[in-house]
Amino acid sequence: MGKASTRDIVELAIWLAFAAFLFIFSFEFNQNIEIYKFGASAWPRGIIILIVIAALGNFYWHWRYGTEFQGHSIGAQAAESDSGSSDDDDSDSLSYYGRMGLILLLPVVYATLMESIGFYTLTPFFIAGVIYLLGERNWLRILIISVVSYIFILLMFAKLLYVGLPVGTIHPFYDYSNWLLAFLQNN
Amino acid sequence: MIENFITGSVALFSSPVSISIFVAGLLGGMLFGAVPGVSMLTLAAILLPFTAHLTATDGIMLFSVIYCSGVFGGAITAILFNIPGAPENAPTAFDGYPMTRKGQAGKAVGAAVLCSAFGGTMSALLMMFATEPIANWAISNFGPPEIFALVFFGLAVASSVGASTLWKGWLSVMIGLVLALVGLDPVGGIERYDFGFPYLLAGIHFIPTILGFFAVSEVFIQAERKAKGTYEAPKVSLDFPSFLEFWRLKFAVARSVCIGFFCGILPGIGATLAAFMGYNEAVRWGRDKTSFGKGNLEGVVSSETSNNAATGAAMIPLLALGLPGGALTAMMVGVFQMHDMEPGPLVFINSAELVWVVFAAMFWANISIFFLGWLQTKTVVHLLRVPFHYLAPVILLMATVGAYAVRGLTIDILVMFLAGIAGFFLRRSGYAVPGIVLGLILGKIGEQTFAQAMQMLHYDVTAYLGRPIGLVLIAGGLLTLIASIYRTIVPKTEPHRVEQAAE
Amino acid sequence: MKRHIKPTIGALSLAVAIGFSGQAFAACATDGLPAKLDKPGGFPARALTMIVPYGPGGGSGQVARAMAQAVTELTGVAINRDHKPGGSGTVGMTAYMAAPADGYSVLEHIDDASSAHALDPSRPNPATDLIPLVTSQITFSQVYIRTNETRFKDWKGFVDYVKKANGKATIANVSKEGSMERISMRYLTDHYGIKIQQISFDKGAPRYGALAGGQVDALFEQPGDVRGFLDAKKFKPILTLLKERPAAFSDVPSITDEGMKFEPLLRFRGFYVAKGTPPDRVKWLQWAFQKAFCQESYQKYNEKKFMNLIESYRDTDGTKNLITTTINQYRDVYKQIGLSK
Repeated sequence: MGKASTRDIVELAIWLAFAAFLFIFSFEFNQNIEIYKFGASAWPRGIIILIVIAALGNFYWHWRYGTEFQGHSIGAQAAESDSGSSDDDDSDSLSYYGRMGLILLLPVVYATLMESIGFYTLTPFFIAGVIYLLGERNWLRILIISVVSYIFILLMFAKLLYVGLPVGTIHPFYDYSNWLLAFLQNN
Repeated sequence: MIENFITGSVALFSSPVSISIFVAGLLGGMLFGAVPGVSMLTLAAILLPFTAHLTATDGIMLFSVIYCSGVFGGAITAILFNIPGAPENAPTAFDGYPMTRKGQAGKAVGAAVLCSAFGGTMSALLMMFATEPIANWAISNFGPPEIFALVFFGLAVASSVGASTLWKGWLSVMIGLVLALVGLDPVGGIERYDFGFPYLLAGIHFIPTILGFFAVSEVFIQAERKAKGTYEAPKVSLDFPSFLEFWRLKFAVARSVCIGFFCGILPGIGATLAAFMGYNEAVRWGRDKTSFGKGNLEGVVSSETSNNAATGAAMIPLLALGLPGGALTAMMVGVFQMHDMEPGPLVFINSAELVWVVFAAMFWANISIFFLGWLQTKTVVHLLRVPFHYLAPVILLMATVGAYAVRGLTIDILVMFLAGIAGFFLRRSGYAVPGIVLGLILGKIGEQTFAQAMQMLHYDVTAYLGRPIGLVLIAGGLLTLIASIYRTIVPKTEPHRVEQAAE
Repeated sequence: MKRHIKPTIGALSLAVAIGFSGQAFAACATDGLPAKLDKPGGFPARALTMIVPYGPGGGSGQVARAMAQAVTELTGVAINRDHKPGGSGTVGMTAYMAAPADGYSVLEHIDDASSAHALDPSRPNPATDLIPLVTSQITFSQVYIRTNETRFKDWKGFVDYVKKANGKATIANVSKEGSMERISMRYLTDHYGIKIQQISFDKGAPRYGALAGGQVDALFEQPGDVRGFLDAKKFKPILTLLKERPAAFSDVPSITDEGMKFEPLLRFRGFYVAKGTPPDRVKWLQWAFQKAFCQESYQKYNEKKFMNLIESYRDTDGTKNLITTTINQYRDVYKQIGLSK
């Protein structure tokens, strides 16, 4: 198998699976367009073909040269130097993975609840959560920083710039947001 | 022309309202450009509804000043935090951030100030000479087939930027092109890859994606360092480059002004392509190629000169054709329309006064950057002293507001955080985040202009033979592709390992 | 496979709904409404939110701004505009349907909501799933050419040119399968049995630039959107897609003049509130938005946008009629061309 590693094979498999996924779903919109011969699916399928070519080229490259970087590609945002060790860094792995997992998960939860609960209700908890996950354990400090950041954001966007942010769509939260906005904008 | 410029300057500085808007735009652009997580685009999105209360001239002038100062301000976060304020600042981070890690933040920012001011001023001057003649020429010579050719050329170049191998560069661009497919197809409005979620019909916008890839993923990376105990606060220094250091880079500056200006003229991709090309050429002409990506001042100088040189140039297609060169100029179209005006050739006939006030404002904004920039550098560098776990939630919240403000869709916040997670993993994989962003921005316009070109040319590709400008651009793109494939298959020497760029 | 559209009798009632007016209105449609109306139970106690499913620069963004300003002038109640563009208005509509029906959020929408419902009945019907407050802009389409065009001078010349070009003549429009633009173009091409290549530009400026720069032969658009080009004598209309000529375009032939018999489709924009909103609040909102139509600032705005060439005003019932006839007409056409879901 030349110089390709298992990782390279997995990478190729992921790309091909991705291309297959896109191709299968392209039948959902494989529709004619009255004014355009190529229809809605020609361009996406062209891209799918290019992905397959590039994925095979990428694999060929690794098969022939291993995981060396290509000399002339400029400005390579090569891996962070400390990332190489992350896979086998097991000194504190459980808490590391747990903590990183939560750090990545928290914003997604925040964004998912945004529509229904709203920015104004969620944000103080989000700030406190981020500070906690970044290692601050002094509850008083978490409280103070959260409140200060929250007020700063409120003053800046609700009072000074009047940026409309999600107020939520379900009841106690929607009412709280609107009460808060009316309070800020009238005082 | 000089008369027009003087009239414009007088009009600008004789009204107290205009002066305050000018100053506010200048400071606002710098501030939003320089605060990590938000950018001039955030400010522009926030201010867009307010321009309705201003006169058309003041509204456009405000945005053009934000554009000048914001492109400069975006360099500061690129250098200090590895967070480009806008895609056009991405190449600035390649060498600027390593300089910060080496304790040379002041020098990098200082160079950015000088180059931004110089590049921007030159560009503003050229803009004044060239806009009207170019408007007259381009309107009948630059249609969808030419724009598609240009996008093709831009994508071909983009694939060679930023990734560890060319193949990965292409795959990165492809990810961007795939993201651009989500939503309605540009010809028949047919729903694609929405998986039944109505909000996905709006498509994936590049602003939340940029905020996620750059601002949010940077927060995650720093958080990881904290989790692993390898976090080190960046060193702060104020060490400005000497005149001599600049003099040695005079050719780089001159070259970058030219590149920036010519790329900036191209509608749709302007300043971003300019910055990448400026950086590309710096590497190509550089004596010590391996020093790029590790903190070479010339990298910062080239990128920043080019992208600021593109600001004035980008106004040309905007004013001459109504074609925006990037996200901010696209918002300017919005400002025009809020005042019931359409940017385009008619602006020169109906609103010559507006055009010249804007030109004058951009010229003076660039001059002001030179003076204010030094002052701002000294204050912004202190941001680095704020403990990271206090700064992080504010960065995330600013980015949240920035992502939401563009279209008022909560899905954009989710897209931003998912892009942040993707960026966190992609940055160590050898794939190029800037390539993805470019693919996303150019994907939609590429597909649309491709379809228009095919319809106009009656599906006959050989019709490009009768359109020399399009032909040259297509040929250039093909040559770029062929040359890079040739180099991957038949490398001259065994490839050597590029040293870790980021640290 | 080519399907021709026969003008249907069901759509004829729309003709009745289109009013004509040659000059600016001396008296305004809602002058009869009371100048003041008490706020029911203190409503509205805070600013209203107007969801606009399009960007701030386009026709919808502009009319939303003009109407919000007029309502605020009239009532003193502030209105925050919340633009949620995307998916041809689908995204903003979805977001609006999720908001509580307490009268504090109102929706701006256009005729696209009607055609979307005709195409896919699972999409909300604006006449029954929402309560129309007012329709404040109704306009028609025209075909434009460059003023300095030499190959053809008028509609007849253009049709001859298109015939000769044998499918290679081009016209710029904005189009989505089944849209007002696409169906109108079908009426025209079916009548003459001609083929013309439509080129879709989703943004205004490039669309107009394409005509001005000679990239396309003609443009399909509404007069208010290209008024700048008309005033500057860069573009000229050669056909008005109405049965009678409006006074402002008395020298441009209408479809009747050219012997066409279809029911012209209109572009209309209006304001809505969610079904389930307390009736006293709906009543107040109806009064505020209908009365605001006659505010001077709004009337000036409509005039500037050529929205006074045919009667632009419909109240709640008038809007419901307009929407229902529009939906029926689209449904018939979709059935004929096999587009219905």
